[in-house]
Amino acid sequence: MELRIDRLSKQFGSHIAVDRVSATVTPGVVGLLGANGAGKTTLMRMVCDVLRPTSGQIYYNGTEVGAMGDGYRALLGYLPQDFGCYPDFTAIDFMCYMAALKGFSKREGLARSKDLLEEVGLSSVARRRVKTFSGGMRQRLGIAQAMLNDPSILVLDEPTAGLDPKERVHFRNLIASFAQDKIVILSTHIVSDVEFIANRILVMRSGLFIMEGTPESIVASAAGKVWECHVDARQADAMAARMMVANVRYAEGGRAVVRVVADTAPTPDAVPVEPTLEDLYLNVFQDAVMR
Amino acid sequence: MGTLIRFEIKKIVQNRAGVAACAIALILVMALSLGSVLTAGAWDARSGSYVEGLGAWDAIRRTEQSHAGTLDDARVAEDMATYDEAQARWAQDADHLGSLSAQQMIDQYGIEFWREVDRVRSDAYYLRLKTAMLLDDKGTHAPGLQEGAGNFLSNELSGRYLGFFPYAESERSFWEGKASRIEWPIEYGSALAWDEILSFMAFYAFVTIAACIAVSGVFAGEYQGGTASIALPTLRGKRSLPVAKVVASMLFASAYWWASVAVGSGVFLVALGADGAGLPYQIFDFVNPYPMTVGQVCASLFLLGWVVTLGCVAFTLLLSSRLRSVMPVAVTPLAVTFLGVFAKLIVPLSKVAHLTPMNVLNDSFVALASYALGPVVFDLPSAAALLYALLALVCAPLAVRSFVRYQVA
Repeated sequence: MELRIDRLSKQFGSHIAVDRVSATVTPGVVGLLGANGAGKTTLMRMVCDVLRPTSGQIYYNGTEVGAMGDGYRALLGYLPQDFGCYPDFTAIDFMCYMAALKGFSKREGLARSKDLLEEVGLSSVARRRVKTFSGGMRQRLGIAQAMLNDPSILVLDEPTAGLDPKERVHFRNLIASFAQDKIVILSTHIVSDVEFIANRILVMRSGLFIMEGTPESIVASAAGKVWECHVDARQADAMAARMMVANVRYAEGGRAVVRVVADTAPTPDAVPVEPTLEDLYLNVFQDAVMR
Repeated sequence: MGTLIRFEIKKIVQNRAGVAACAIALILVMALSLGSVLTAGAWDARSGSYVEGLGAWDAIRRTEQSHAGTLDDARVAEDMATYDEAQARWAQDADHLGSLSAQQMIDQYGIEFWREVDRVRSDAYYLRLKTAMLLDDKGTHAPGLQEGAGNFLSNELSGRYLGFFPYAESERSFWEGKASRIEWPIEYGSALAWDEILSFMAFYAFVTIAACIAVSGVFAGEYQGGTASIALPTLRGKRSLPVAKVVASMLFASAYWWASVAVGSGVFLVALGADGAGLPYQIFDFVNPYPMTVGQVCASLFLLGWVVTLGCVAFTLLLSSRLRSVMPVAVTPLAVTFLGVFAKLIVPLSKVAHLTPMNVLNDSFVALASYALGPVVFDLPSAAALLYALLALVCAPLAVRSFVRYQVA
């Protein structure tokens, strides 16, 4: 199973949101990492066939997805960013409706809906109207609907928005177990979402893939660019204002340990340390973060 | 497909603004019908007293039934003589009589005088008869009702419709052909409920508008609520779903239309009785050229209203599929309907304005408006039926296409 994105572009007026990106995606979790406005959502929408590319193609197992039509959509599960649902529907009604859209019979749809609501911890509120749900509950409902048809391609755009840490961990485990023989494309700007479960990461910036590889290889590219130095607290504040500071840990006696992402040592006594994916993110998206 | 249609109907019913609009229109139709039944007032020709409510309807029915029977030439001549005599007696003392109320006239002149003069002069039957029988400005009477009606029609057709639109030869033949199929002499009688139903037909345009408001969010609501992005990339999202939306909208609008018709006309039929449905439509207007019965006209108008509703709903669905906001979609049918009412007052626009929903229901089977396409002529009801059926057949597939092509951006 393979999803191939071939020189895909999307232009809105004079703004190029996605600029001739190419990638081949195989089963496993692919993390699409990028700052807001990098073009992740636009790319996701094109992958899900709800936005027509300006140029380029997407192929599933060698067949152009536009030509597959319903056959391609039958393979998809999609949780969009800003997921909208029908506020007056109950959770079970919403799931059954989505099941009908995904081609389930009434009975099958109901059974599958109940299972998934149980899985995402919403079975006790299945008869409650969606408009009474918190942001996290709605997000879990969105995840459940995306998985209804046991999709071969699961596309999740900012799926952990609104989830508390416990829910986020639960969700990560759910995705990891689901992704064993399926393609999961997970778009996010929250590094920890992909750090632990992604087999592969695509880093996107200004509509382009600027990095691609396993989490380890991606992180390794930041080697020699992450420093730790011991300074006094006042100096730490000054550093935060003029360089990319990943972390400041204040110690006793007015001292602080500062973690800095920079090409060169920020202070003479700074020592290089092991980078993390977050350091890499800060390094790549310095402009966006510093802004 | 059935499940999807059920869910789509559920969504329409859960649209609060739409349901409120439907409830208001239904209550309006019911209130107007009930109000008309309960607040009627009439002078009882038998007792000389003024009666209100259901009693008034009994009095009106008795008056109408007093004229029941075949309106052959002899009978019409006799009735015209009765009317002329009443006019003559009135003319003798017009200055004084004109200032008296019905009660004062009874008190001063006696109930017989009042019954034979004032009642006859204000009786709708005699007034209609007078209009139909008048051949010229000098007061010459036609020898019979058929000749009178024929003369009236040919006078109308030799002029211009509303003094502006000349009748083509094909239009004249069309109307004369229609009128020639009326079976004279006609049978007169009482058809109170049907008369009231026809009088209130224009208000059913509010039912049409409400149905449009109810379906305004069918597509636009998906865009506005961000649900199109989860519904479209599914197995049935681009094929069965938009079709289910259209079918659900049409089913909802149809059910609502016929429920409103049942409520509105039901009030009149229950309160006033269903008698008179088989009488010729000419009992309401002797010069009307439609060779139909009262019941046939009512049924045709209800069917026409349904087609108009389906056409308007399809047009609303098309707007809904192309606009991202529900509000302009909901407002458009309302604006078209009311602009049509005002546009009718501007004579050069009136023929087009006749085709807007409220005017169609108000003027069909009444106005001598016709639309000639070469040798083919359509009267208002057939032109409206054709227009709205076409609107439904064209707009619904276009709405489906727009939804399928919608770009989530």
